[in-house]
Amino acid sequence: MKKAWWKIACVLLLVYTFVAGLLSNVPDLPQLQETIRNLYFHVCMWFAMMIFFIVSVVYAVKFLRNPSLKYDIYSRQFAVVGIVFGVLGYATGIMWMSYTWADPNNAAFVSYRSVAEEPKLIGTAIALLIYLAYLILRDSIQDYDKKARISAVYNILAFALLFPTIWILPRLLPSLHPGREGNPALNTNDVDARMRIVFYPAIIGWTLLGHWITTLKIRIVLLVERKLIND
Amino acid sequence: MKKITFTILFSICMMALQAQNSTTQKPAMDNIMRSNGRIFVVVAVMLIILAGVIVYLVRIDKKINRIEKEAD
Repeated sequence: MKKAWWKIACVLLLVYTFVAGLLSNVPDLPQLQETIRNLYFHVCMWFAMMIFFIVSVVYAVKFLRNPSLKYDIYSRQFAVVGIVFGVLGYATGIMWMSYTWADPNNAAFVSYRSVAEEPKLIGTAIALLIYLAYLILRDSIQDYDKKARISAVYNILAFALLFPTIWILPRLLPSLHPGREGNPALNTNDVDARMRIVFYPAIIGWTLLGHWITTLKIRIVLLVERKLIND
Repeated sequence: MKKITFTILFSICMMALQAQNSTTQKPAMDNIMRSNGRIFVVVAVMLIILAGVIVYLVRIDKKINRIEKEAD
């Protein structure tokens, strides 16, 4: 367990997130009530996903500049963990919106139909599908060098498509999701001070947890590849 | 035999009385876990899940460490 300080920091930050996230005082908003605490969990998933996709595309560019299989493995594993966090963010978002956006007075079909028109949901679904296509594309190519090159190029395309699908389009269309006016999560005037002292550590904690999982995956793949190379 | 039956009946009656007592009095387990709508129970459950995930990750980490050493 060399250089384990960030793993310990990850555990401490997540314990803090879970305890302070459920017990601390939050602003009383009629629409959200206690569900505002989801900020420490749902929003952090998207932060972690964005960070992992950025790291993934950085390694993809590194691979194209200097074709080393190590960079390709890094790029792929960060993309996979980014997708996992994205799916978790989507799932938690569905849970949250079911009890804040969906109108309980209407039939389930009617209220979910209005929610399904939400541009943020459609945009993120497209973005995640583009990243899933990245995995399909990768695993469908047998030759390792070709696979690494094509997937690095596709990774850059997928990253570029993140911006219209999750950052630009949802802001141009009418939406219930907060964040149309700018970056509310990063705007210190928008998030209450009582929540910020939990929110920022929570982002770091969740991102470190994802990074830990990714390093484990990378080490496994490096071991497998080394065995293949030695045989 | 009669004595034993009486003892058992008596103890059951005592237990029933005890139960009556505890409902009228303050609950015996009225501690911090039962305050604030028992939100601390949720905190504890989430911490257990987190601990499970972390222990799992640490075990995988150690296992990979060992395999890496063997591969060198």
